[in-house]
This record gives sequence, C-alpha cells and structure tokens, in this order.
Amino acid sequence: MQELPKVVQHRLASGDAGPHPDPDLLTAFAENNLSERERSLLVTHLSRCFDCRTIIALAQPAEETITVQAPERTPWLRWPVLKWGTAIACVAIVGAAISLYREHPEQYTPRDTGAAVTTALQSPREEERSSLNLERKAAEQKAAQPARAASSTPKTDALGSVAEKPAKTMAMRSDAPSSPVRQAPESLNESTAVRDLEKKEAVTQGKAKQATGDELRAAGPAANAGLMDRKSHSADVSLASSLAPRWTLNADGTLQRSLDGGRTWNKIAVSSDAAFRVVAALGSDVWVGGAAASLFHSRDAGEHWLQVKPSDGNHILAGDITAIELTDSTHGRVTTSNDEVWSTEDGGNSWQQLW
Amino acid sequence: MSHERPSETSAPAGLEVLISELHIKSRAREFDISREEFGSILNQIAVKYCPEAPTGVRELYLTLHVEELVLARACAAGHEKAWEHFLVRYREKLYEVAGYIAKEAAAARELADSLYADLYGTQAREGKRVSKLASYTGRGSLEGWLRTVLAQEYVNQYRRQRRLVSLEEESEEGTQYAAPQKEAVPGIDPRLERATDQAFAALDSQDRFVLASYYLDGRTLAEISRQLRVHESTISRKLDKIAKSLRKNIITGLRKAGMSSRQVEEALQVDVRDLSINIRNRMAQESDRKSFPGEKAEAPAGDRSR
Repeated sequence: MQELPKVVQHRLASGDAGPHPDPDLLTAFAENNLSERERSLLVTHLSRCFDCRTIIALAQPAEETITVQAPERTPWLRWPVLKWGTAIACVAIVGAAISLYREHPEQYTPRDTGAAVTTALQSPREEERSSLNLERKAAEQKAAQPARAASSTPKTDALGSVAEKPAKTMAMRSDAPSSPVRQAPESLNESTAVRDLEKKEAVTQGKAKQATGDELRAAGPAANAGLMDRKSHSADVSLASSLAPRWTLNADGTLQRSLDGGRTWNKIAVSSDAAFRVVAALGSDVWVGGAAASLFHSRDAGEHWLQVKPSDGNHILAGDITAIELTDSTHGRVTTSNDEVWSTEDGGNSWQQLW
Repeated sequence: MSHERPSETSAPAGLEVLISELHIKSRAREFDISREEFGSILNQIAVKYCPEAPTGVRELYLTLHVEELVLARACAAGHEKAWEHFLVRYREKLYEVAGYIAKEAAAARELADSLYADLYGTQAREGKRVSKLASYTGRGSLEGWLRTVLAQEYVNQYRRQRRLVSLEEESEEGTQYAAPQKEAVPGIDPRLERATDQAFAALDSQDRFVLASYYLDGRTLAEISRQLRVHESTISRKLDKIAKSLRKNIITGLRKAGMSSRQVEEALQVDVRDLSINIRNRMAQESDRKSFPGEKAEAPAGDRSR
C-alpha cells in the first residue's frame, strides 16, 4: 500500500467535522438504511470525525462465523494418524507382497487367503494375539521337528495350526461359503462393522507393523488386494473428511463454497437478485438467507437450491433474514431484521412464527 | 407548488393510509399504543429527518423499523409487557455487545449496567421518567441502535477517564517531570498547506473517509469494506489510487507554487511531529468539544401495563 506523507496525514486529521449525528443515523448508516443524501452527509462527517468513526467500528457486529459440523469421531482418529498410518501400512503391505512373490509363489491357496482375510477382520487385539500364536506355534514346531520343517514350509505349518484352532476366526471360516476368496471382498463391502475395524486397523501403525511375513504369505495376492482395498478405503475416508464443504458469504452477499478446507472458494449461484446476509450448514443441508426475505435451502451441499417462503396462515415472512439456526436436519429457526422469529420442524416444509 | 413543513401533531397529507397500515404491522395495539399516538410518533420522526419538505416522508416511513420503534416507545412509557419482550430479546445481547466492545469483563458489565439504567430511566424530571429508549426513531434496527449507543457510551467513558487525572499525576506531569521547552522550529510551509488542501478538496467524502480510516485509525481493509459494503479488493485498489493521485496533485501544486523537485521531496518528507504546530492548543480545543450528547427524551412516567 502507498505510504501517505506525514504532513498529508496531519492535514487529513485536521478540520471541523460539525455536530455529531445521533445514534439512529449512525446505526442506519451501518445497516445501509439511509437515503443517498443522508448517507453522503454522514460520510462527509465521518471523514472528519475520529470519534464517530470509532463508534461505527465498535458498533459493528463481530464477523459472521460459519461452523460446519463435521461428523463425530474419536479423538485419536485424526488426520496425521490417518496419514502416517496409511503410509506405513501401505509400505508394509507392498514390502510383504514383494517378498511373498519372490519367496513362495507356489503356496498361495484360496484356503490360505480365507484365513488371512478372516484374521484381518478380527479386532486389533485379537489380531495381535493370533499373530503371536502363529509365531509361537511356528517356533515350537521348528524346534520339535526340524526335519519336517525342512521338507515343508513354516507357513503351511503355521496356517495348519490356525486351521486346527477352535478360535473365533475358525468359527467365521466354518460359517463362510466354500470359496472364501470370492466371498471375502463382498463381506468387506457389505458390513459397516467390518469397515470400522478396517479403519482402526489402517490407522494403528504399530499393529500394521506386527503383520508378520507368515500371515501375509498366508494371505496371498487376493488378501493383499483386500488390504489394498482397505488402505484406499481409509484414504477415501480421510479425503472425504478433509473435503467437507465450508461456506461463507463475501462482502456483496454472494455465497461461496470451499471443498478443500478453505484454500480456494467458488461462488455458488443461488439466485441472481438475492443479497445474502447469513448462511448455516449442517452436513449436506445448507440454508442461506438475506435481503427481502430471500431464503434458500439445499439438501445436497449446494448442488440444487430451493427457494423457501415461510408463511404462517395469514402472515408472510417479510423482513431481511439476519440469522439462521439449525438444530438438526428438520428443526431450524430464522430471525428477521424486524425481529420476527420463525421456526420449522420439518425441514422447511411448514413454518410457525414464534415472535 | 408550496412545501409545507410538517407539524409535530398532524400527519403529512396522503399518508393516513400508510400510517394505518404501519400501525397494524407494528403491532402497536399489543402495547396499547393507539393509531393516533402512533401517528404522532411517526410525525415527530418526519419533522426530525425531513424538516424541509414532506416529499421524502413516505420513503422514510417505509424504511422505519416500526415494530422495534413501538417496542422501544412502549418500554420508555413503562409498559410492563413491552419490557418483558425487550428483556427476552435484548438483555443478553446487550451484555454480549458490551463484552465485545469493552473486551474486559468488569468494564463490560459496568458499561452494560450503565446503559441499562439509562434505558430504564432511573432519573425523573418534572414527574416524568426519562428513558433513553424514547430517543430511538427506528432508522436502524433496535439491536444496532443499542450497539451504537453502547459504543458511544464507551467512547464517552474513555474521554471522561482521560480527563480525570489524579492530582499526584497532574503535579508530576506539570512540575516535577515537566518536559523541557522545545526550541521554536519553523512551521509548515504555507505552500505545502495550500497544495495539500487543494488536493484534499478534489477528493469526495467517501475517499477521504477511506483514507482516514486506513491511515489515521489503522482500520483493516476488511473492516472498511464491511462499513462501506464493498469488496475488500475494491477498497485496496481505491486506497492505492487515492494515495497516488493525492501525492501527484500535491506535487503538481507545489511545483506550480515555484518549488524545485528537491524542495518538493523535502517538503513531503517533513515529519509533522517536528514542526511547531501548537498541538497543546489543538488538544485543548478538542477536549473542550462536547462529548456525545446523552440526550434522554422525556416519556410519560405512568405505568401503562394492563
């Protein structure tokens, strides 16, 4: 910005401003409710009166802040955890897959894959336990039967021991159809509980590290594909949460939306002749209101808009909309410049004037 | 065509229907304000804001916040139901706004309490209770008016506090720690003053307001843009343009007055604080200026609640 010489600033500060305007005129100026002539006179006074400029600035309401409610999540499930967890899990899976292909390409059987998938579906604690069991069993069998270990791979033994165990994992397997390789991805897609488990698994990097080579070898390529699916699913979840739309209004009352956490903003065309003053969003429900009772509602995060004209029998909402409060997707309240308060309990289909 | 100055008792001709409609819209009956009383209130407002000609009265009436006007006047008249409405709607906001203005809890509470007392009208004059709410005319929203009045009260309090310097401080400032007298330095070159004044005369009031807000008050572009309801980037461009043209016009004026380029540069680089401007006198004049009038219109003292 250009610097103004001190001498010029001094001359700018001097000069007689005349009598102060009353608070009504100052308020009307702040609310853009003056005639052209009055506004011009008032601006002339303001340009010379420090006190009145201060009053206008102090009386200005705090900037409207819009909070878009994010879906609830546990405190530990945050973006850094997701990011690093996903990255480490990805590296571990790729590394394991490479070693699998190099060392034991002949041992991938559908049955093994099923075991690995069901293991992956266990809770992290169960997964730890079964992983430890696998290692212990393998070590015991190696010590007891070195010759047998030499003739058959430790992986086969380990899986054999898993298959013989009457654990929960086995119960799941026995209930499963005969072709677990084909069924496992379907069950992954269908069960939301399973998805939750997957998310937890993806973000717990320590546990991801504990996925031993034995287990991964048992999983085979199909299971690797499943894990990759889970990894990309976790990434989708984190991406979706970071892309939750944010809303704001610019100075001339145009609605703007950001899909990248506020880095860039796009104007949203709602109505060509409406100057908005307030916006409220709850999930994909967005309400925006402004001058001359203009009120619009979008149920799909701003893709489509519907004009809403609240009326209560004989009375129609007529003032400027100054506040919108949303309790949930069906309950909301609208305040107008003439201090009317309207409420809806069915997502805007019917309205009741409270004040 | 002759323009009659509106009297305080009779409504301007042709506005009777509009006043009746506004009376219904304002729900004045809920607060026992009759059509005639309502008309009289509107007429007083018209006299205040359209004293010359009645041509703009209709437009004025249409822009008034009549519901809030009626509420404020009913409160000023001591109507119990009106006060219940007022408290429900504005009491909490009043304290919130005071907190926003004063930034400090105790000062905010004191500020809000002080205004609340004025609104209620704790003082009586000639048997009539004096309420600040009776001066509200509905030009802006009642909430906005309360904000403005709070801000005004805050500025007044600040001015009062600055004037009330303790005797010890006064003696320290005046005698013990008196600043040494500065040597007399030459004043601003009259040619520079003339050139600056001419350059300012070419600005419109809004440009001057933007300049003063940014360079004197230290307001941000966002604050100024919100006050003038234009985009921040517009203010930024405007400021840049005004500052450049101002400088250019001053330089042109100084050149015309016979200054060389070097003299012009030196004149513009002079810090006004180094010049012998009688700041003390100017400050004294400013402090003599009246603080904002705490005008309290008179309202009937009778309790009109039913």
